[in-house]
Amino acid sequence: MIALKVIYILLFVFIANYICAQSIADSTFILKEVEVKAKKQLKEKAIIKTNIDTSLIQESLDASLSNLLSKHSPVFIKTYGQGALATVSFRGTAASHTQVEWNGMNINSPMLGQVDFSLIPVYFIDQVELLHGGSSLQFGSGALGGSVQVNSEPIWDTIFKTTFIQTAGSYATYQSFVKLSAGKNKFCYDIRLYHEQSENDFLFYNNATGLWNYERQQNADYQKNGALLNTWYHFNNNNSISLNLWGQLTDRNLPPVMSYQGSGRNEKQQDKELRMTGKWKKYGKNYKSELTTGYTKTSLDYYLANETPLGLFVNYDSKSNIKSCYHKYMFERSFGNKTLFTALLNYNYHIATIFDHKELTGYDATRYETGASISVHHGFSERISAYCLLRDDYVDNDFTPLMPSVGIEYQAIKKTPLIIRSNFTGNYHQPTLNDLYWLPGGNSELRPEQGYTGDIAVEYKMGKDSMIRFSTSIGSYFSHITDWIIWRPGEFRYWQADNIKQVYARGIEYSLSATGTGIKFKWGIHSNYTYTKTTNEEETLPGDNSVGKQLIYIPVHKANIMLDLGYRKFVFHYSTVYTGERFTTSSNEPTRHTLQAYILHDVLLGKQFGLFKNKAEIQFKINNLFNINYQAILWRAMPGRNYKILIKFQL
Amino acid sequence: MLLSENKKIRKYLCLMLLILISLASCKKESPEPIQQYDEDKGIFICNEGNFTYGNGSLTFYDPAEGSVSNQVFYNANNFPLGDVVQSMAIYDNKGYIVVNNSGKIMVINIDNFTHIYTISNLTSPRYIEFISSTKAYVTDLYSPYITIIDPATYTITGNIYIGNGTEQIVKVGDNVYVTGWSHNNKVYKINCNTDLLTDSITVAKQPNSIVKDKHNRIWVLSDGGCQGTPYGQDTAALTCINTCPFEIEKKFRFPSMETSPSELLINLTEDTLFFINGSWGSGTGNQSGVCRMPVDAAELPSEPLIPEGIRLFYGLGIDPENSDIYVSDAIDYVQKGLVFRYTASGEKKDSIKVDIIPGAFCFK
Repeated sequence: MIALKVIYILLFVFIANYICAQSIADSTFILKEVEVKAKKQLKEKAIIKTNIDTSLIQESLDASLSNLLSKHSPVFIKTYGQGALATVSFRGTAASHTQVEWNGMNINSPMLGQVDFSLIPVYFIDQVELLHGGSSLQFGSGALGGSVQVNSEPIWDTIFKTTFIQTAGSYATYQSFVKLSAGKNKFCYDIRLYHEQSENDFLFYNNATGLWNYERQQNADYQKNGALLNTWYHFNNNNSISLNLWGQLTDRNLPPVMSYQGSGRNEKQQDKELRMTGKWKKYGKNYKSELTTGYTKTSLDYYLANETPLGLFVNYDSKSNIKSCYHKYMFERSFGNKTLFTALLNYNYHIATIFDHKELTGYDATRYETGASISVHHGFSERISAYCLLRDDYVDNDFTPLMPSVGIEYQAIKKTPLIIRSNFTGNYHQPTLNDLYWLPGGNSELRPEQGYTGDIAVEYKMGKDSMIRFSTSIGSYFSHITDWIIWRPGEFRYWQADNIKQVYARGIEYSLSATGTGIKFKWGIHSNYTYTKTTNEEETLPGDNSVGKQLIYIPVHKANIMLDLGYRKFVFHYSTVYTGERFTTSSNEPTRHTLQAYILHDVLLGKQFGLFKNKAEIQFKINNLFNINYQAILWRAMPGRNYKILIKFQL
Repeated sequence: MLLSENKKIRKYLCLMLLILISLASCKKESPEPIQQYDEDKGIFICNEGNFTYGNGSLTFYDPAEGSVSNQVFYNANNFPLGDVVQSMAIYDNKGYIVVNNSGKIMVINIDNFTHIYTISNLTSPRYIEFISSTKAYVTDLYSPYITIIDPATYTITGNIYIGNGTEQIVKVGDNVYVTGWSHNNKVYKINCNTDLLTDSITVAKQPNSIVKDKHNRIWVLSDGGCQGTPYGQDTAALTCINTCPFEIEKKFRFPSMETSPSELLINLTEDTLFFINGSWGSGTGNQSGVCRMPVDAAELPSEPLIPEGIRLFYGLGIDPENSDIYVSDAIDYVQKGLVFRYTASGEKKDSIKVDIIPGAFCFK
């Protein structure tokens, strides 16, 4: 409640200032951000990260973050289909081992630990950054696989801009996007609205029933609505604040597996999210201070009812409500150009109420999380720099052991942009509230999962300011995770959470990007390949054949490539995603239920044109160009070739 | 130089195109040849598969030859059985496989495993009991009805209102007795001639299995429920019920709240009970394992016939011919499970690898 009040006050302040600002004579702002850029760079040394190219984000405005990452990043997305649950596996780890921060605030569900990436529209974000493995520790703990940072970026121009996008696609899929943005003097804001709906009743060949027929997907329709407000305000040269508000409502029906031939069922899920975060940045001569505070209120309702001769018989009617407060304070102090000292303090609080109105079970839980880290970055010379970080968390009255991270960056050959980075990190991931308190099976005695990660990567960048730019990087990592929490049946149907698994993950991440610009012509190639070997390392049961075997649903090979061409006002994109074979048994034994590798091809053709002095664009897209019949998840139907038309106006 | 480079590129492009096309062209699987097995004797093992994975399967084991064939349904028909293969029964030389979360019963030829018919449009079927050549009852976890089907035409012919979900079913004379397992403590009596619920009796919480003995009495095993749920927990119990008059004859309470027994079965001569005595959680006590108990015993067996040890027993089967005991271990529930075969006196004879979560047995 208090948080809400603060937000209102802040909002009022903004509006008041905006009105005042109109009357103040234009004064140019030399943004302090530029000044601290050199220091920021020092902070990014020895960190292994991937920035998703802004052009790729701009080209994917009508997609969800899950599509964007699947096509343009090394992470693996496990998706149930268009609009449906999509979770991420970073370096072969579990979905909860990827931490997601939106404008500096964590948005992982404290209840499930994970983020549904299908619920983050690319339209609502401006910047996506992946921090691989231990490189994420400087933002917080828990990201044993890595973290995804999504941010909103202000545009400080003085023009009032409006953008509309409307799409229409196969299976009665419609999307509408509106963005209003303006930036003047000290104040800058944007408002984004979004609506998506789909019948999602695609035809698929059902080879799971013995009828060998084409069937229409049942009960997969969905509707999503979202609104976002971003504001930034500069008090003066040294102080700025920002406020971000995001509300979203998603209703989804959940389709059954392909072999279902029952009497009919109604299975659905509703997700409601309200997120707000405010930030105050203060810049001094040799310091920077940043205070972030946020509040989220999320609810997830799940309902399952089966058709009976008497009508619907409700089996589950579960409602969960979670309120969280997030506070983070960061202080950076530089000593000359060579040394940077950073301290981070965070304090989060969660209240969760989960209750099933049919089963009459549930739990109420609260969690306090306090964490602190200090780090020193030092540039030894033009070519060598290193950092050292120490973090500790205090969660639910327990201290985790210290989490260290050290890294070094080295420019191997003088005046050649060939950079070697390496770091080593110890990290912990707290059990989720469901792991601890779910009834039955939750285990309040759980310990946090512990991970050690080591990384080495080589990057080569060429032609920073020339017509042709090229960059490539290859990295290798190993990661050892102990006390990995899994749910396993005790006897008789009830599953229980326990610190059981020991997992060894190692792999190779390769990326290549080349772009070129001519007078009328523009081209680009972006590609990623990952080799991910994530194996279970400990026999915990007699007869267990899962030791040394790949974890289920993690492909060993994953690759994507995108070709991007522009000629005058025409654009053409061709993108391909390869997903390797995935096992659905922990023992990797040959069964008839191993998921085959597949390649999906998408193509886009677009043209920009002027319309009443405004910019407009029309695009035609074909997804799954070769009409591949594939399964991303065992016996879940996926759509074949499908089409979409997009129209964009900019006023 | 440039020309050869160009040629190279062209060659490469051709290769790429070829790869793309070959990947894009859809491969149609042709059904594998149907295998013939020993027509006399064998054991079907229902591998439940993981809930919502749709990877349930059927294993056929020939104890005389010691041969194991996994995925016999999929191999014979080229499509999967479905999601959560709960139980199987044989009637008139046909196998009726109840696929719980697919809402259907798959009827197969028990000699070559070919699919004969799919009885669909069920809600959440669990077990099937045959009443006559034109009538069978199907219990249902998520429906307040028992479904009546006609095995002659494979059609749903009606239903019987119970008011709650139902679990195991046994026929005694002109009546069937059905347990209401989930959050329930009732045993229901249904008249097979009128298809009406005529009576019910209260037993210990969550009766999960039911058998008939040589004295025409029924035995009901209750697991006692689960601690912490609003329905609450009770000590588990084995209840002996007289069918005429319909009343409880005796009740054996299990000594500890930790105990959660299941899988009550009886041998062919209907004089010896078998069940799995398990405990909650992964900590298994000394009492865990397969228990044997004569129907005239004065108390529960003090120790198991086949101790579980560090394993977790899941499914149980008793060979009607020689009372061989089959017990399964699902290991981590996401890999191929094991089935152990013991003699009636508890001597280990065989160990076979089956498929994901072996749960139920059906003797041919």
